[in-house]
Amino acid sequence: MSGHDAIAASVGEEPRALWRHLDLGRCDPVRAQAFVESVAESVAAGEVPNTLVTAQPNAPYVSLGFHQSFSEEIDEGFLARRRVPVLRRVEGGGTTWLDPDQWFYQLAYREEDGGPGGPADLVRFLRAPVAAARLLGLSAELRAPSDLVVGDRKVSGNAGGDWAGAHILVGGVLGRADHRAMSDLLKLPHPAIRPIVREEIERRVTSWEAETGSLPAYAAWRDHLVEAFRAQGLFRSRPGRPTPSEETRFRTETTARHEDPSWRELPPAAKAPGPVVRRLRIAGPHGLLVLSATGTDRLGVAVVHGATVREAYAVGPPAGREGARRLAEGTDEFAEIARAVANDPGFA
Amino acid sequence: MSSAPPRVPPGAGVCAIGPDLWYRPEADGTVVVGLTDAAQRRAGALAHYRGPLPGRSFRAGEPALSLESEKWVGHLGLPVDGTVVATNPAAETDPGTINRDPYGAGWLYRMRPRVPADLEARRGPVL
Repeated sequence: MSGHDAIAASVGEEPRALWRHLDLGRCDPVRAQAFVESVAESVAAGEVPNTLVTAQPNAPYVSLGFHQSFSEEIDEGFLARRRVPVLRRVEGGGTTWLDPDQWFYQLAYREEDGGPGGPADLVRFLRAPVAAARLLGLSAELRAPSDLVVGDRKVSGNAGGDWAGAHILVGGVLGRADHRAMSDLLKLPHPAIRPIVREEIERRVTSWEAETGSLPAYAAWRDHLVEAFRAQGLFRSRPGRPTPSEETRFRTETTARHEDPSWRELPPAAKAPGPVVRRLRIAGPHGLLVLSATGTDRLGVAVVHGATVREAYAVGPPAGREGARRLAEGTDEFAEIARAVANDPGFA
Repeated sequence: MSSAPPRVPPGAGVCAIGPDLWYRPEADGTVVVGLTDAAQRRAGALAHYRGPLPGRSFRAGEPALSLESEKWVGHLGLPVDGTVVATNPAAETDPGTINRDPYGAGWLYRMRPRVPADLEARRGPVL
C-alpha cells in the first residue's frame, strides 16, 4: 500500500468529483499568479470543470494582498535595486516575496459543487498540500486557517477570494526562503526597524530545504499533490489544457488589469486613529507593530504573538542600526508599548 | 468566527435582499445596505472593508466592494443596478464595526437604485 493509499483508506471513500488539472509549469509571474483568475471565469460560466492549477514562477516578484496599499507597503529603493514587478492578487493576506524557489497551487471552483468559499474551505482543501509534503519527507502541519508550518515556522502561505462568480484558493510552498528579500521589500518608517523585522522573519519562516536538507523535483511535488487531493477525499483530477477563451481572456483582460498602474495602486484603506503606524504580520499570530510615541520623535516597536508583546524597542532618532534600543520588560517604556498593543485590534 | 449576537437588532423596514445583504429605504429614495448578521458570522472577524466609490454607477452583481476575513476576500456587488451615494467611513476605518453592529453603525453603503421596483422584486423577508 502506497503512502497515498494508506491516507485514502484512513479518509474514506473515493471522491466522485472530477476536476481539471492545468500544470502551467515554469512561467512568467503574471501567468503563474493570475492565470487562475481567467480560469475562474470559465469555471463560473460552467465552460470547464472546477480546476486545480500548478505553476512555478520563472522570475521573482512581489505580490500584494488585495487590500494592501502599494504606497504604504513597498520600499521603492528595493524595487529600484531589484527591478521586480509588483502584482496585486485578488485574494487576501499580506505582502509576499515570490520567486522560482516556490511552487504554486491554485483552485478555482464553483460554490455548488466545490465548496462554499471562505476560511473553512482553506482548512478543508489544505489537507492535501499537508499530506503531499509529509509523503515527501517534510513534517508539515496546518496552522488553521491558512498556514502550513513545521513546528512553529511557516513553510507555506495560503489565501482565498471570490472572483467572477467562482471561488479561488491560492497557496505556495517555500522550497527555499529568501529572508533578506522578504524583509528588504517592506517599507518601514525607520532603518533601524529592518534588522528587527528580518530577525523575526528568520525566526518564523522556514523552507523545505532548510527543514529536510534537500528539495524534491517540482514534478514529484506536483504529482504527489494531485494524488493527495484524491487520497484526502477532495477530488480526482484529469490533466487538461487551457481553453482558447481562457488564453484570450488572460491576454486581453487579466494581463491588462495587472499591467494597469491604477490596479496596482488602489487607494490605501482608511486608518483608525491611534498610535499604530505600521502593522506587519510575519506568520500566523507572529508580527510587529510600529507605534508612534506622543510628543516625541521616537517610535516604539513591539514584536508580538497575538496581543502579547515578546520584545519591545525604542527607535530613533539616529539613523542606522544604532537607532534601536531594546527595552527591558518591567520598564515604563515597555509597559506603555504593551498597553498600546492590548488596545489595538491587532491582526484580526 | 464572531459568535456574539448583534448589539443592535434590525430596525423597522429592514429587509433581506439576496443571501447576504439587508436594505432599508430612506425618505429621499436612497437605500442603506448592509451585511446580515448571519453573513457577518459566516465571514468571521473582518479585517478589511473597501467600500464602493460614491458617485459611481454599477450593474447588479458587478464587483463594487470587498471584505476580507482570515485572508479570504469577498468581492461583492450591489443587489440591483444603481449609483452609490455614500460609503460608511466608520466601517472602512474599523471593519469590526460590521461584526459588532451589522444593522446599525456597521452599514456598508447608501445607494440610489436605477429602477426602484427592482428592489421590491428581489426583496426577501423583513428582518
